[in-house]
Amino acid sequence: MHLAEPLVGPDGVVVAGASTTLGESVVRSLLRAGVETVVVQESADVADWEQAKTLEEALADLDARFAAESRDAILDTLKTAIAHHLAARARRRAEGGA
Amino acid sequence: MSDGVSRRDVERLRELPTLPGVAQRVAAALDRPDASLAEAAALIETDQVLTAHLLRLANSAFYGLSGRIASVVQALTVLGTTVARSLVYSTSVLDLDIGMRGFWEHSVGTAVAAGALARRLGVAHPEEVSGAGLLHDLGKVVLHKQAPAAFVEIVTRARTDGTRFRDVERAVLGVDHAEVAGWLLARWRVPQRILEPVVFHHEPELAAVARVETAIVHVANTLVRAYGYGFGGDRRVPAISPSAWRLLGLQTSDVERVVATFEDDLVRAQDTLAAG
Repeated sequence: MHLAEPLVGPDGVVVAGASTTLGESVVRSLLRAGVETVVVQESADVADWEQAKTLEEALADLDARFAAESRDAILDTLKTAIAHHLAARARRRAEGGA
Repeated sequence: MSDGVSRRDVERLRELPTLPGVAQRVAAALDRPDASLAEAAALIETDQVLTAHLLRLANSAFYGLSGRIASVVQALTVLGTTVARSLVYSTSVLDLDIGMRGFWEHSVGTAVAAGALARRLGVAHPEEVSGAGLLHDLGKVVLHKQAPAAFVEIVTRARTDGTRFRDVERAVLGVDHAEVAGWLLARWRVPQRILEPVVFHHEPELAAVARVETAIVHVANTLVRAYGYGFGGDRRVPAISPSAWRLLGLQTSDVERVVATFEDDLVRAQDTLAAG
């Protein structure tokens, strides 16, 4: 996994350049520096469920997962609950929450 | 049976690994009413491979904690004795992380969802239900180890045809992972409350002893697939048995609660491990 953008410290100095490989030692250094989130390049190494998605993308994926299944009241309940959760999570993120 | 799979592949599935002596002694130590984790840990630590597998398992169960479970006692404390016993059985002869992208995540996700459902429903010993969730696809691990060529063929066909993994297993080998897991767990004399949820997670109505626990793992398996976390061998979302649903008495609010906390439960599990 590689950094998509350069990581700049509070003093304006580049801590890690774009395309830096996020190996174990680099991750440790970033954690020590108090860095909690980074933007990474899209990669085939990142599985579908590991990718950050917009609400629209997440809901489209949810539809796709259920597309091959017969309609069923129990599965509908489950799908609706997941859709509600995804929407609530997107709202929290938009408001700056967890 | 498909052309690419020999009868020998199928026969090898029945040549199941035997339980090493150290695992039997650990299980006996954990089974005693006055079970001492320190004693069980000391026994485990006499076997370097078993120690490495158990620590790897405890550490890899929840990403981001690599290296933070440093002792066997700590791993046993976190996992609980029944789960630890089942994992000692499994990890003493099998590597549960088979390297198939997403397989491990699916197993961990099912464990977390099963634990959350068990707690929501007030089931005794939710950690055991969670442990059964972790082991529910043990049969796929056996297939991967004992019939690797057949396993690759099954994964490939399930992916390209969009067919259910279990249907391809039956077409290729004549058996499925749940049945294979049943052979192994029965041979190891694993308690029914762990065995049945693993063996019957696709057909929960067949459980005789652990009906509720089996129904929970059955629902958890579908929930994790529906959520899109990990990869269970195909991209399908299996139907939930109406009788299992009724048995659990699940309401929409229960499902919404468990789904809403699924990610948080993964994180909380990380915190538990970190504090262990």
